[in-house]
Parts: sequence; C-alpha cells; structure tokens
Amino acid sequence: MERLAIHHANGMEMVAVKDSAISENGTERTLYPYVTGTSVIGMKYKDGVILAADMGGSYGSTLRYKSVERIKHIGKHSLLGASGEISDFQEILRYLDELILYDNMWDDGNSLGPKEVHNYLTRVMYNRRNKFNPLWNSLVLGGVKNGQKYLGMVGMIGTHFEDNHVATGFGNHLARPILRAEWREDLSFEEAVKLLEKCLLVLLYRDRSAINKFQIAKITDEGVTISQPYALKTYWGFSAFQNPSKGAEGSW
Amino acid sequence: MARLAADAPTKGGFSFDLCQRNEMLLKKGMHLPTFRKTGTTIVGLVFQDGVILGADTRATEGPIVADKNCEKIHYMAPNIYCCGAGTAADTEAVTDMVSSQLQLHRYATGRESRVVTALTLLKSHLFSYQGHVSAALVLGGVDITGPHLHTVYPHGSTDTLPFATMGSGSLAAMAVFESKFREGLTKEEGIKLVSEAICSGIFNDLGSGSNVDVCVITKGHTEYLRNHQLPNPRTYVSSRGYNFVKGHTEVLSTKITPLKSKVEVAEVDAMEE
Repeated sequence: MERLAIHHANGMEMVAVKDSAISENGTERTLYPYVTGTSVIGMKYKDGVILAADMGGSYGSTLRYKSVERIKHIGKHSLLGASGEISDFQEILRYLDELILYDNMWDDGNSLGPKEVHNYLTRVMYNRRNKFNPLWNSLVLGGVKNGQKYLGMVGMIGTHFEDNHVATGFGNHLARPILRAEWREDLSFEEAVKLLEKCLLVLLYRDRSAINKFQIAKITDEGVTISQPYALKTYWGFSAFQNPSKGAEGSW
Repeated sequence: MARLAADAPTKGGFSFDLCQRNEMLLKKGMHLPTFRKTGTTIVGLVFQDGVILGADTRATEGPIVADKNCEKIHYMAPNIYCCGAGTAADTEAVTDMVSSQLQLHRYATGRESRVVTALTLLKSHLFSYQGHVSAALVLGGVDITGPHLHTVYPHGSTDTLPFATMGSGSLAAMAVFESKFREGLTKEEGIKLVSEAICSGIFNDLGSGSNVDVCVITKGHTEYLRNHQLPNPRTYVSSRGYNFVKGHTEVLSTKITPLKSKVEVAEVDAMEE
C-alpha cells in the first residue's frame, strides 16, 4: 500500500492510505473484498439441479445488507450462485447479460447451456487472475439442458471442476461432509430441499457471517424457480444451555 | 540483561528471558525444529447415563503421517478421560501431569476426583504459559455431581457444553453433531453418533485419519474401546493375499555353516552386586 503524505497549512502531516496498488505505469488491482456474501451450496437431484444461499452481504464484520440475491438465472438453462465480493458478482452478471444477448441475436434456435456458460466463466476468472486483478468470487453454476444435468464451480483463481454436489466458502468445511455422507442420485425435490436445509442450518449455527434468510433455487427442463426468502427454525432448548457453568464456576 | 538460571528464583509460569535471543536467531535464519502435531478430530458428547469421548488415531509431522495408530484419549482418573489435539508432546505432558496431581489429591482427600478439579488444574497451567503450551483438550467424566463435558483451549479458556469437537477436523465433526445431536441419547445411539462424527473427520479432513477410538464413561464404570472402528484397513491387490510356497523360486546352490563353531560359550560367574 502506498502512503501519500499531505501537508496541512499548520504543518501537521496527514497520511492517506491508498487502497489499490498503483505502480509506475498506472495499473490497479484488487487487494481484498469489501462487501462479501458467504457460502453457496448446490446439488443435483432427480429432476435437475438445486442451489441455496442466504441473503446477507457483510461489510467486514458488519451485517450491512440483508436482501442480497446471490442466485440469479442465466439464459434459459442455467443458475449462477456466487459468494465473495458482491460488486464483482454484479460485474459478472453484466458480462453474462452481454453474452446471452449476443447468443439470442443469432436467433438460430440454439442457446448457451450450462457447460458453455461454465467454460466462459472459467476463462474470464482465469484471465483476470493472470492480470493480478481477480474477480473475488467463488461461483456455482448449475443447469439442465436437453435432460442433461450439470453442476460446476469456478474459483477466483480460475480453478474449476464439476461434481454432484458443491459448496463454497465455509460450506466446504461444514456442508460438504454432510453431502458426501447423505447425497444420492435419485433424490426427490422434497428430499433434496430437506438435505439442503440440514446443511443450511449447520451453516447458520456455525458461520458467523450467515443470516437466517435463505433462498432456494431449482432448475429443471421446465425452467427456473427461485423461491421467496424464508427462515429456518433454530433450536436452542438444550437443558445444558440453561445454566452452563453450574458444575464449573468460572467457565462458560 | 537476562539473569543466570541459577540466580532466578523459581516463580513458575513462562519465563520470557530468552525471547530476545530467540528473535535474533530467527532473524539470522535459524529454523526451529517442527513439532509433531496431532492434526486431529476429537469429540465428546453427554448422553443420558454419562459422557462419550471419541478421537481419530493419526499423528502428523507436517505433511507426513508420523503415527498411524496413536492414542489420543488420555487417562486422567478412573472416572475422567481427556482427548488431546495440538502438539502431541504438550497434550501428553499436560494430561500426565494433571493425572498425577489428581492421584495425589485423591490420596489427600480420600474421595473420587471431580471433573472441575481436572478442569481448573489444566486451565491454570495453560493460562500461565500464555498459549505456548499448544494443547486443545476435550475433557469428560462422571463424578458425584453428575456427568460433565468441557473443552479447554491452549490459552486457558474453557467451555461447558453438551457436545463438543476440537482439532482440524472439528468442522466436519461439528456438522454431524449439529444436524443429529439430541438430548437423552442411549449408549448405543451415542457411540454411533460419536463414531459417525469421527469418521466424518477422518474422511473429510486431511489431518485426521486411520481408526476410531471411543471411551464411554458412566457412573462407576468406564469402557475404553480402543480401535472401535477400523474404516481404513490395509488392502492387498489379491484378495487371497500372498503365499510363496517352497519350489516357486529356483535354488541354484546351498551352503550351510553351523554358527556354534564360531561362537565360544563359556561358564562365567554372575556379576557381583
């Protein structure tokens, strides 16, 4: 970080810290994210793909925005969920808007499927990282085209892969173990939602930046449905929580 | 200037005398020896009759597995056991030390040890070393006041919880506990849940692995189930194993040398005291 020394009239020196790294030839790069979204979890189920994310946008340790939609649909066949810097997610949506627009203008009866969108996003993320100016996001791309289900992930450095169930951020540590143990190929929609809610509840308890306001989005051959925001029921009624240090004064 | 060791009165706690010299050595490029850590999954839960503790059995030294089947559930008292994560030497030493102190206390008082006694001894020792003793413990036991489960952190803070996980695999194990724990579990359900949580750590965390150890503590009775589950057995390509029968290898020549002629056996008087 460079420091600019600004001299005041009375001789006091005020130092301003610059948040971007501007070198001699004038380039800028992202150093850290500001407004961030926490985990996104997604998995394939019998009829398609299902994604879930909470609606929080944290500004450092403050919960600044509580109605951020972090799952959007892309074209006819894909859903995109993002964690990380919200402004970079909005920029990615603009790139994808342009991509889908040009695809529609061809008017050739063909439309970009989830695999193609995933590939495009991978190229974008990797190229930005090579210029040392990354888009600070972990993206989850899910979709169905011609009955083929697809679920993939792209990270901020361009790492990409495809799997039956994915999670970003904290979800990797808390939701992945549950999904690995309990995911099956032929889950119905209700079972899939139950499994996702199980993971979301653990994330709500144990991730400090998670909030109790979720959206679940599903995509099938018929189309996209993004649910209204809703809350999960939490349980705090353990008898051990009533008077925790009864047996051990001085601990909590 | 640092005083000589002979002059300094023994006050206990961490002595900061050598810190300046250590920092200077680090700046000059000296590398400290790496610790053997127990990158670990340890868990505990309270069930209807007492406490169940669980641990994996992998001890790591950086990226290498130093011990495939180590014991992470340490004995404190007949009714109190302690799982340890962090630096292996620290957890061993601190649990051994408090175990001896508890034994002496039992002789002095003539009563069964209480879990809060072990807890207070551990936390005051760890606090006085300001986090340099890298021991993160799950302490559980049943005494006259009932079942207790506590976590102890390297800096000396403690929590009293109905279910707890520590170590690098703690998030994977906590995911299982948070979704499946309820109060008033039976012994079989408790052991099953603890094993599931440890397996979640073993398969989803790189620092944990090998087998599952379980310890069930109830009023008046403790069961230490060493290697309760072995979910990572040594496997061989051939299911029948290998069997090399005589005759598979061609013998070119045979020469037998009796060793008795080379060694002299003499009768000597035993060493005098």
